[in-house]
Amino acid sequence: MNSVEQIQLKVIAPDRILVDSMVDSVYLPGTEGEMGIMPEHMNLLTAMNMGEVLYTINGEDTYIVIDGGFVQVKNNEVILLVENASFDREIDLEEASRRRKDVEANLKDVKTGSQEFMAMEMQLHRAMLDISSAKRARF
Amino acid sequence: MPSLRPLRRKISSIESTRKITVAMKMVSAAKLRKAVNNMDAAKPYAEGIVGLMSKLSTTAVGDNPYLSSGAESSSSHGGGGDVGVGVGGNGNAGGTLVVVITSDRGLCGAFNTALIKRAVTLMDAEGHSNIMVYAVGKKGHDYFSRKGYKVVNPLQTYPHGFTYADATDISDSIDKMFVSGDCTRVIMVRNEYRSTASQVPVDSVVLPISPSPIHASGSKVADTSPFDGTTSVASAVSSAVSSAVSPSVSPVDVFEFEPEADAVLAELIPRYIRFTLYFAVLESIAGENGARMVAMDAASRNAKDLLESTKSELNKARQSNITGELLDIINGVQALA
Repeated sequence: MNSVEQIQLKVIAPDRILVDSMVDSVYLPGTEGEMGIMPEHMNLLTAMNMGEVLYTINGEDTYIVIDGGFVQVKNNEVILLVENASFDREIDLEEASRRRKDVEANLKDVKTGSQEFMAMEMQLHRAMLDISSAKRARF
Repeated sequence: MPSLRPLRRKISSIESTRKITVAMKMVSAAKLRKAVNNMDAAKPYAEGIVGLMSKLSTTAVGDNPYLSSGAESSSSHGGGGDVGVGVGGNGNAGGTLVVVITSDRGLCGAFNTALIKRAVTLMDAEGHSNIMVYAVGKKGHDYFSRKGYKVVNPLQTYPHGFTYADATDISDSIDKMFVSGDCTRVIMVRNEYRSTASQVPVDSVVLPISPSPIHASGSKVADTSPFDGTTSVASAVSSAVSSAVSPSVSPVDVFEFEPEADAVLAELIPRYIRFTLYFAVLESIAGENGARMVAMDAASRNAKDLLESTKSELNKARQSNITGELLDIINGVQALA
């Protein structure tokens, strides 16, 4: 596959660069909904929600779980600025399950709708995302 | 006849002190290298987020003065530009929160004292008494608690290194104070890492974000190469802005925003603040170890000088003892003859 049919992807976290290579396509959780980015995409700048980023190199899929961030598409280059990102294969399934149980146990004591509750809901969401990603990566 | 024992004891004590300072210097050097690596690892993100910030502030502020209100909605945890929340953002006689970033340990020269002095001067210059301190690092926390300042955070140390999650905790609590109106200004005092030998205390206003620095630096072309390893947050940030702005914002370079630019900016600002804090602490850690390395180097050199002079003192004393003994013997021999 030649490079015209691919697009440059950079995934940058505050403490490391996760990806810097040519890819076939990228799917990401935009705040306005899931979006796919293919080569020759128009220039775009948007925020992302918590979720999974999927990119494909020569037909091979890779997933990254993120807490949110930003995407900039410019001149056939996609730059993702992400916080708290990990590859699905890096996730510790046991740790994520423990995290989920902890949050679920604590969630009962917190007033529904409070800021704390919302923060914990996000933690729970992340734990469940981690679990599902880790499971998929294993099998 | 002077005894040689105290001198010998002094020498061995200096020697063991010197061994410690030499070892501490090597440890600091290793830690410094790690800290600088961490800073380098954060630079691509810095470049990205500052570039975004400059793009958005130029695009979003065009017709509506968003950034001044953007500073307020930043306090609404990125909740989509909820401008009504952060009413305290301008003018209200609220307090000033001073974030002071010091080290946990001493033995690093004037690293902490100079910073604390700067912070105290700044607080006096604020001109009102409603000053709160958020002290990152044990040294600053100890000092401001002891002096009776209103320290808002419990002491937290990071023995396993400072992570982005730690920065998130700190910026979240600062955010909370800003949104609730407990403070209307947040100023950060930190040591800027210029080189191993040079750390300079600097202060900057974190909140509310004024759009001017972001715009202003956009116009001047980067005269220093961005992120050459010695640039500070402020200069790194501004040079990243200039490098991001000057070559890229051409008339054809138009972005589609989704949702509109203002909403993206509202999402961006809390993360921008969080990252600024993260980078400031990384920089402080690098500076701390640089300062300690220099201090320990000086201490080792002093110990060496002291060792030399004490040794020559010892030799003199030994010589005069021998001379004395010889005189005694000669006198004895002459008396017998």
